[in-house]
Amino acid sequence: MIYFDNPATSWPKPPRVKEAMNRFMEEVGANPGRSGHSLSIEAARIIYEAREALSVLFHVKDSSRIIFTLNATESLNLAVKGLLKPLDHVITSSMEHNSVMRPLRHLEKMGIELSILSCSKEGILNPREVEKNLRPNTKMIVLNHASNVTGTLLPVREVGKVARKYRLLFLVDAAQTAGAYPIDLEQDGIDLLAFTGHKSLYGPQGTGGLAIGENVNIQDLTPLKQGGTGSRSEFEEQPDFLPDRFESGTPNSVGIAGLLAGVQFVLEKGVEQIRQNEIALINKLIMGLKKIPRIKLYGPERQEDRIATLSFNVNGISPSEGAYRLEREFGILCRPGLHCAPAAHHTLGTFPEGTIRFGLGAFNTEEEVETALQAVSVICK
Amino acid sequence: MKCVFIFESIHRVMKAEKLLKGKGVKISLIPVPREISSDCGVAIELSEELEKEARLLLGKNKVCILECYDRCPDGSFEKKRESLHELDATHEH
Repeated sequence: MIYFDNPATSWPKPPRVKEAMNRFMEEVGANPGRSGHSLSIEAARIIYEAREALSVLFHVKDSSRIIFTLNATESLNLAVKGLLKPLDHVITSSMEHNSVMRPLRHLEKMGIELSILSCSKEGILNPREVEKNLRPNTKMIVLNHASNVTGTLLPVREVGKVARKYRLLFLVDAAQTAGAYPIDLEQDGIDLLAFTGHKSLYGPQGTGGLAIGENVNIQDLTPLKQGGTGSRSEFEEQPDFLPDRFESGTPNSVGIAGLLAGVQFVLEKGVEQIRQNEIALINKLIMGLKKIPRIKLYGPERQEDRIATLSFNVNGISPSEGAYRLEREFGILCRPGLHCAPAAHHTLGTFPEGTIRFGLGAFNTEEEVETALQAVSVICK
Repeated sequence: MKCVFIFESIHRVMKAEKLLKGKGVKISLIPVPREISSDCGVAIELSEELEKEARLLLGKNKVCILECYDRCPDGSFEKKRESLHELDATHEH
């Protein structure tokens, strides 16, 4: 079996992820920081270490500014719903996933003004477009770091400069890049970074978070939920300090134990090294696919403009049929269709059929790429 | 005599524990005595002789101690005088 569905969720995971989760279940298991006994404290230690590891990865000075959530979607919802008010203007791109687009469309109905900047057919955004679309009431820019459809990198650092210049909040959806591409909150000018644990951080599903930069006043960010935090138990009001302000209820501690192991794997291997390996494989895949007649590839040519995800179509075969044949005849697992990103497929001109997507991870090999190229050439015959 | 540090959140207790243990300061994590507070469940207990060193270390690393108590020989807790707080060089947020 060849697994090319890493942009949906990475698989396999490093063995240590399962081991850490198993250890948590067998030897820790308690509610973190709630009870004061040794198992509760050990659970809290694991969660603290996970925050620390993530703050190293994203260059966040104070790890209490890393908030755990279920996934990038919850983090994005927290950021936009917690900060935007009616009559605020928000700017985003035409390459966004529905995790950005749906909350913003929802807020638009509540009176928030929304501008969606057009990207090129390769999914590339000209950063100058941001400045051209500013309004007096512009409050936030929301961009995905890399497209989950084509792997196109958006110009985060350039847009970060614009956000700083005009004192706008800059929210980045790093679902596809956290762990696979270098991220530095300070240098990239990112105020809020939404990430998921189960993709390139190699943690389990049901883990993710929001990293909150120093420029964001946390009192301006309304929590999505209130509840028990294990702190200030004598008060019926939500605590106003980090991270408790945003983390009510028992967390996914076993998941976070796995996420910590995944992040340690990434830190040990090095994001740059992981990226180099993945880029070498995706380049080989792109070169090979280009040689096959009937294939149309989507996304940027230059490796500087992309991560290791690509989309293609076979002339005369629907994406779902192509993907079905790839699995049935060759054991290749990938994702056809719209990838929860209708806006991106409109931009590429592939709506409503979508594309076949191949997305690589740290465990894919050159042999798998070669087998996949042979498989695609067979279904193209 | 022992003294007890109370923190705002479990996150800070964990940070303080790592810092202090990393520097060889002998501490224990204890459930927050109910007489003191119901804050965050866990407190740090250490012997009085180590208090100053611990405070300086935490202050330097911007880990704010919310309150500090002496554990009296009769088992009761006495809140420290404010003057001791001047040792906290800087406070986190």
